[in-house]
Amino acid sequence: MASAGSGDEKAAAAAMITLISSDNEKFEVTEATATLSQTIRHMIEDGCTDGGVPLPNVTSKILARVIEYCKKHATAAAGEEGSSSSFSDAAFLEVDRAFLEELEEFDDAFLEVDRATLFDLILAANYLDIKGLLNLTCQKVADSVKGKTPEQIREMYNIVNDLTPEEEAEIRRETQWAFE
Amino acid sequence: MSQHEEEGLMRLLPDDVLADVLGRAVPRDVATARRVCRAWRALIDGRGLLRRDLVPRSLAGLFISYDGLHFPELFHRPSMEFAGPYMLPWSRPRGHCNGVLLLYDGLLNPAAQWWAPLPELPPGHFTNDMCLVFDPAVSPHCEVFLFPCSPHIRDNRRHVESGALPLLESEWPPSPFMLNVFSTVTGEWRERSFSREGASAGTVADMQKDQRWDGHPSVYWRGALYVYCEDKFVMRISLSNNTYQIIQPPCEIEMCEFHLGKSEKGVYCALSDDEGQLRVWILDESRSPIEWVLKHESGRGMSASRPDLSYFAHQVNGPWILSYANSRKGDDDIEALAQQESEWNSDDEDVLNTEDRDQNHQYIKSFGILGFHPYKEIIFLHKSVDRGFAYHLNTSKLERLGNICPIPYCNLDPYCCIQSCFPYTPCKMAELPSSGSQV
Repeated sequence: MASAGSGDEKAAAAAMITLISSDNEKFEVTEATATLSQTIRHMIEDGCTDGGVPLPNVTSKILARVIEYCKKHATAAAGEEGSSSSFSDAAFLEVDRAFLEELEEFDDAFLEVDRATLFDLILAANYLDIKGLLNLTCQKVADSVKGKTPEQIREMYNIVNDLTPEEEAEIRRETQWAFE
Repeated sequence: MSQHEEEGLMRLLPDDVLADVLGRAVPRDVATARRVCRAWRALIDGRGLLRRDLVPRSLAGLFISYDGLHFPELFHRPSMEFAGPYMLPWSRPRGHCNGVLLLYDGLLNPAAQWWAPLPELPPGHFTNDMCLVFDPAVSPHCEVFLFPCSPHIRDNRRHVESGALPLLESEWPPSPFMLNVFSTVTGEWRERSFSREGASAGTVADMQKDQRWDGHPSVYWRGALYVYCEDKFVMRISLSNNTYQIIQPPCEIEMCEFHLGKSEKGVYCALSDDEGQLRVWILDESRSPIEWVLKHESGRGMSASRPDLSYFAHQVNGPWILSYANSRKGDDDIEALAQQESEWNSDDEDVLNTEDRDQNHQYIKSFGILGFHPYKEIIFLHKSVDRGFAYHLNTSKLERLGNICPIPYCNLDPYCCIQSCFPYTPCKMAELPSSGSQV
């Protein structure tokens, strides 16, 4: 892994990408970090990243958080690629376990944000097509409705109930099995 | 993107993303989300996010364990469809909950074909102390509770010398009651504290007679675990708020045949006495304290006095069959046998109108209880290690299901007996997300 990893880093260090937020702030990141986003990866492949990549849907505040996430996880991705070529599974697992734990702690801390920021992160992850970040943030929202009543969910997310009492009763009947 | 307020956050999400979010929820939460608003209901229905198929809904058969035989047998209707191979248990199940079997060393889901080993039990516990909780509508994870027997007087003498055990006059179970609980989330045993609501069951001294060593029969129903303890009482453990209640037995009778189960309307118990009378109670949770209400009394007719037709077994075509696990060698898959034209099938509404095809008018004496049908008011009975029956509580109709004598038992030991039996409801929920390992 050592040789493959350092090789990647050298290559990545050579190629820097500039990302431009909706409020015109510029962020310089390595290609390895930027290509966690499938959207940006495709732009690089198409050779249209000279002069920076404008991201009109992402504010500087959110882009900074997204880049923080990508930097951390780009290191993990580099480790995985290296291991498949030059390391045995057992040796990889040994190195990997501690790192995965650290990564999990990072993710948990990363999600400690207010709800509006969480939704901005989801939208950014969706737009930039960053699978890991989308998984992480969607799971957090799914967890937030766990064990709640419809009323609690509506209150939490300010959703207007447009179902008639009759419709609600019917839906309740249809799904009674899930509450047995 | 600070222009939006916190209100209406969910409306910001594209349908694909909202579907991704809701698709991660367990069936009960998806069912709840369906009631939030029209848009959510349309999305959930349009994308098939509510997975009813993940929640058990039918009875596949009964896992019966026999004294002295290594493998439990699945007693099932011949046409039961095995969609793909089943991973059959290789030792006597200690419990069953919503499609997962509790074996002495791990958890097995035969239909979804996963196996999760249990870590070593905490000191002083036995595999018979274990009770399983698995509710796939709420979580893909399992929990195993360890119920200690009351301190036994023999051990008591030993421990009192060292000053370690409660005195005979102290309450049992104590409050708070400390239980070791295994969760497949953490992969380890952890102590949890449960405090009592309502009256106690008695003292340690009261628990000294009739101690049972063959395990703690238990039932899980609507967020609570019901455990039959000390041959005396049922403990109802509310998992949401870590409390427990003591439920006194329905009658003062010697409770050795008391059978706890789950059926159509909740938690049931049944007693089959030596004279062939069957009594069934249902737990009324609307009362305070919770108590048993008599649901059905067969009268002595099941044994001797009344030659009522309804007490004769009705043999229908296509009896239930055994998996014959004990006569197979190294083959863990059951092959569905050739379908028969007609067979006993509780899902078939016509079953009660089946003509009396019984030619034998075989006379039935006392019964053992195999278990309750989990979705219909039917109790499964057996007569020695010979035949299995279905008894309809609402019509008193008794039907013969088939032979339950496994091949190695035929013409052998007259003292052989059934050790345990669990109605099995297959669950296709995939393997456990974390500590569960797929074979």
